[in-house]
Amino acid sequence: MNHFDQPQPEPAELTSDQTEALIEFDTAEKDLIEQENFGIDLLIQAAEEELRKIESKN
Amino acid sequence: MHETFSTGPNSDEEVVIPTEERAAPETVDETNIAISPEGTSIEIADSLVNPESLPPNETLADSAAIENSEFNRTVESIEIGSTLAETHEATLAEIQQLPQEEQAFITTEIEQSPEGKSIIATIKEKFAHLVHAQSKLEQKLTDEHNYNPKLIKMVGRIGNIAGGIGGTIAGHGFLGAATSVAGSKAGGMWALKGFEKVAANLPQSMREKLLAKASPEQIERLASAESEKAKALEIHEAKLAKLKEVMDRVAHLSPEDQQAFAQGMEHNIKAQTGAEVLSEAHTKHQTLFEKFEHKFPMLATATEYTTHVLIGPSLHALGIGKDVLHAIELMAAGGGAEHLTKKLVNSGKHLGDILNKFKNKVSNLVQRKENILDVGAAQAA
Repeated sequence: MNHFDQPQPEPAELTSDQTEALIEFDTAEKDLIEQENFGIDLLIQAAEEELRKIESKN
Repeated sequence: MHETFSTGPNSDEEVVIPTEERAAPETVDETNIAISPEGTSIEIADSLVNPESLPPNETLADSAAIENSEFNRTVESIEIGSTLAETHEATLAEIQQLPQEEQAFITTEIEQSPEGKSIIATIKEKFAHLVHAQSKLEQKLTDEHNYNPKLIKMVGRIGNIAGGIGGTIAGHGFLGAATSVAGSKAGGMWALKGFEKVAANLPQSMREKLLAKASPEQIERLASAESEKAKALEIHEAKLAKLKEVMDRVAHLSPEDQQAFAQGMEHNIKAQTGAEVLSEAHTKHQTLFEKFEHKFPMLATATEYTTHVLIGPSLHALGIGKDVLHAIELMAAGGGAEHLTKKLVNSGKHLGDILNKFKNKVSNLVQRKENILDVGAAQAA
């Protein structure tokens, strides 16, 4: 059984270490999401360029 | 007559130390104070006076490297110390029943005799070192390891009382007052050292209970980080929608044009770079999550259950909070890894929710991205 499938009581208060870890995680994840956004942007631009080429031929 | 000494910066109250007739000196192993056979000198172990000479505190990640014998020895000594403290407490109650006149006479003798003055001066010097050493260890546990400062004070104070009782019993007679003072600080150090050792070997989910709570400033920074990430995610979703729109256009091309589109994309430098950037980010994302998960492991194995039961009495001896004790009692009563798992997971519920949320989010993002790319590739093919 997955740990998270267990019945859960009241939430625990975050500790100092946990909070720092979450801040670190959130910040790192935000940077990665922005990196992914950049990658998607490039894909969109490339796709639009190729579409324009095809449409101009037609 | 009672002599009163302050127990230093970590204690709110003073210890009242009774004095009585001098008897044969003893050695108090459990507090690392050695009193010479003549009763004229006291040696305190360097490890108590100089916290720098203590073994470095092992982290959970290092716990596997700790030899079992060393850990067992620590646990055993704490358990023995706890038993002795209880015995000493009963004896101290008897000592306090001595007639006031006898105690007054002995105290006067101590204060006026050169030998008594010399011994007390030596003890006071040791006491000053111990106060400094204990204070530094408390600071180290609080600042470097983030244990809750209130908890550290409590552990030190319990040690002070136990050590003070030990010192009184060991010294007897006029040494009693002074050795109680040194003993109390040695006891505090002993308790803190024991705490440091035991806490370092606790599983992460239990250690979290002992750590300092998040400050308002940290909560604010966390909210800010979450807000920034939410903005990035909004942009991310908009970009994914835009990419889907472009791919929809590709889907409406003729098969020949789709073929041409695929060949164009294959040689398009932006498409190549975009794919590499996404692939790299994907890998980093997975690594980031794995590291985060590793930082807050959930426990389930029977081996760890055994460890909990082993350290339970030690935690009790040190008086580390009702929550932890309750958890240990439940584990022992439950008698199985399943119950332990449930209890520990319940304790980490909030973190579990966060982990789940992040896991799902990462999974969804990756899945959606892969679906779009797959559709695009299929259409292009």
